[in-house]
Amino acid sequence: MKKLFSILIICFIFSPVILNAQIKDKIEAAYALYNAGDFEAAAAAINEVVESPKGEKSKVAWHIRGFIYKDIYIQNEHTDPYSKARNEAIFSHKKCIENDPEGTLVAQSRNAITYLSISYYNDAIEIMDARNPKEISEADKLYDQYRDITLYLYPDSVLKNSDVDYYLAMSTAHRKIYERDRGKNEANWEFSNDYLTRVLELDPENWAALYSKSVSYYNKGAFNLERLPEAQGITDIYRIESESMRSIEFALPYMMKAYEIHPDKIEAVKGLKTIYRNLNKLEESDEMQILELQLEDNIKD
Amino acid sequence: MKKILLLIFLVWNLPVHSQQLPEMDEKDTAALIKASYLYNFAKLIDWPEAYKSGNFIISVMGSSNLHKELVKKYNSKQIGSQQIEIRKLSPTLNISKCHILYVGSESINMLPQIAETLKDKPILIVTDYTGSLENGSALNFEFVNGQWRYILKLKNATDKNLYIGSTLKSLALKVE
Repeated sequence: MKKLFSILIICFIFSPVILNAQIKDKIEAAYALYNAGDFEAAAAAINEVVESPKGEKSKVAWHIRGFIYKDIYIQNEHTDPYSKARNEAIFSHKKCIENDPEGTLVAQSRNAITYLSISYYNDAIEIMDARNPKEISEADKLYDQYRDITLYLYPDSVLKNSDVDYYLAMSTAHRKIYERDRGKNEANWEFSNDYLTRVLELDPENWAALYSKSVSYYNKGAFNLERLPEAQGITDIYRIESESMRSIEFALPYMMKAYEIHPDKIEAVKGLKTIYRNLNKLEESDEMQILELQLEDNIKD
Repeated sequence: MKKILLLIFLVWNLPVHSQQLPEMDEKDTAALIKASYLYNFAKLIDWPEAYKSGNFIISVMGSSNLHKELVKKYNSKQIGSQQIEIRKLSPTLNISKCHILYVGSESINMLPQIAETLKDKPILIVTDYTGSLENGSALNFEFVNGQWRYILKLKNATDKNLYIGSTLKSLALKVE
């Protein structure tokens, strides 16, 4: 707070833009309210400034407004992923940077924006981890906010790794929802699969995505066969079996690729063994079983 | 450089994601499918009157996964008014009364002797090994174009006074 105060004093004194005395008084009044901890009154006062034609160009006004709303967010809205104060804080700091060609306040505003962008990310993860089927899609909006702000701060940044991590985690979250009630939450299987597709678009050799996609198809096919006891005759068995085997066939190329990338990973070897066996490719399955035993021996050694 | 360091800091300090690899459902899908077929065979075949009372018995020789699946999913079901009962048999020629006998590939060498022992009894023999129909099996599973189907050898059923319904015949991969 002290640092902010001293920066503001310097800005007031050396600002090339001569602030209208009335505007300056209003900014100081808003700042005093902010300093006294009355954030709502401070917000009302600073809003009056930035809504005026001259105040709208004041980097100091926007800078203070950014901190006022940041503190409103921290104090009252930090548990609200849809906090309006947070949006206002970011908007204000961006306006400050836009009106600060000399760059006097840019570093501080950028730091504030960085802090707030991470809070978007944290909120996205929190929603994802809650695994509420009705709310989970909101995580994407928050992650996109984080992403947009990061690109605003660092336009040249490559977010591929961050995106891959996020999509994998979202895939897991949707899969867990699906596994809670596979009949009711079938749409979440599709979402989970879509996120894995997005990972593979970014990184076609991503082992975790290849393995997960294969298991996801295999498990879906295997689970579908649980409907067989309710089959209404042989034709119905054909239909259910056909759907299942198609899903299990889809699983094979992904597991093969996962195995090619990391032939020493026992999960892929076990996966291939199981898929081959269920596709009645018994020789291939037996080969994988031998490899599995060899890998287990290596682990013991 | 400062910018890069800050970005690295930013990305590295984000919370750890809850990404977990899925576990495979270790299911014997062939056992699931064959169990369903056996149940439907039971519904589509007519047994002689003497076999229409008491429990409807499906005996499984070998193939413990198929036995488990039948017990788990079909033990409480009925064929007409008969309660299904699933029995597990070790390889033997001493086969007690049952309606369906599934002979797994582990015991397939005994099939000719089993068929001979059961030739006068209305017991449907089901297998999943090529050549079994020549050795007394009436229905044999075959894996064709990625799916389990069955071939029916009508004589091996009718000789035992089993009446095979038209649906079972028409949906067979082949009727010999």
